[in-house]
Amino acid sequence: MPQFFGNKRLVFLLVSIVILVMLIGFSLRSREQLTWPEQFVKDAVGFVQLLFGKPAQLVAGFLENVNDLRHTYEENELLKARLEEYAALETEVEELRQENGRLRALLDKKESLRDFVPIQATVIGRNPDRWRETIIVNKGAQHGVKKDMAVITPAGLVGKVQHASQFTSTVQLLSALDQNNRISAYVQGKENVFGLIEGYDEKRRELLLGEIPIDAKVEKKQKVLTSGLGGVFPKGLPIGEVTEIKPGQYGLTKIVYVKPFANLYDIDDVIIVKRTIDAALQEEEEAK
Amino acid sequence: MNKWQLPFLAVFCFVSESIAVDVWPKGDWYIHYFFVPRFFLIFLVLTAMHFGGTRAMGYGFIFGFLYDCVYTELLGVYAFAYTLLAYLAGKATKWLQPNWLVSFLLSLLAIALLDSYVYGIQLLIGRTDWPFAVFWERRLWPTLLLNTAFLLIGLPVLERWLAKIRRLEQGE
Repeated sequence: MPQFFGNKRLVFLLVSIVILVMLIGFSLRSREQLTWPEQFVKDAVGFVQLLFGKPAQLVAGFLENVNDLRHTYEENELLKARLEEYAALETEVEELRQENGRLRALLDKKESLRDFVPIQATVIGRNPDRWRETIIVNKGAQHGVKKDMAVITPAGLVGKVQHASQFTSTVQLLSALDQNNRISAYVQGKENVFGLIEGYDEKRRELLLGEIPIDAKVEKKQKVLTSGLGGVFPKGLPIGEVTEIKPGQYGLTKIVYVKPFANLYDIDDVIIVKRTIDAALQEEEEAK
Repeated sequence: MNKWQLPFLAVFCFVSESIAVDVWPKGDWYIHYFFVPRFFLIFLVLTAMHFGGTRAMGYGFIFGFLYDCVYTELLGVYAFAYTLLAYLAGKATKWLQPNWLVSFLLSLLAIALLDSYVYGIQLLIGRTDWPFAVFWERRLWPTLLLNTAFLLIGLPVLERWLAKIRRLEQGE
């Protein structure tokens, strides 16, 4: 057996293991913010990623487009049919919007939990080892991104901001949601039913909505939206659709399975959602 | 100019891991199997074979730390593993005949070791509850498969490039 380590090196190895354990402990604490060296490293690597990533994405996008062309005819037929529905829906939405505006003016209520400022961002990288599904996007604290903000695609909610550096930020996808990062949501119905998105069922590829009272009325196909209670999420971001209702662990609550509207894996461009009501509150505080 | 070739290659391998995952088609396969590209580790093993363990350890530590900071946010895990694997690869080269088969097998062994080690850490801190069989089925063999495919194509290119860099450095 040849010797891999001399005595000195063995000591060095042991010391490194101790430091490793300490560092892991340090990073496991739930941190509000990353330390500035970490932020700097992230931004620097983000820049390099953008440099190499853009050409790669262009090529991949082109191949995807060629693939899409094959299905164009069928999709086109389908879309034409949908377009007519859309026109009717749009007039209705416009009317409702105007009415809502008038009523709000009557009440003198300007800000709502629903209003938000969208921050457009592009995915520039992914965690390659995928023990935690995170993506890196090209907007950071300098663009107004803060920790815990909601991240959506046009289809619906996909995740939340885990950490924001100055020019990039890390987004934790809904498929990697853990117990410490629950999202307040409600099931839309005659009476809204409130609950918390608690996790992700990997087998069914569906979200778990928990903490719902056992006597609450929830039906299949109902829509689930963010509630805007707690945290910095605005109200009314679409999350998904109810697929199944099960009794909870102790029989006092129900668990609802929610199929997300958005594709949680295939994400290229995202919108980071900044709630306007927070900005207004901040301004008020600063004015004082 | 020649001084920058090796660092450039390192950066390229490092960044290409993330890009590879990003442009990978996101079908059912992507969701069920975890194909983890380990291009940088392959670069590291080859560097250890061509330029000796000490230099590879330097690269391993720096880029391992970058990996921790940028991707996993779990400091120290990759920095430690990359440095150690670079050291071991450097040691192994001393009593192995350096040829393509050796670098091929050594790279795969390093990948298997690294992935098992990271799995162990994740298990330890409670971020996963997969038994080893699931880890093997969904993670380890797809990862080895992807990297074998990469090695079959990329190994001759990388080997030649590194040999060229070494010749240039010796010529100076």
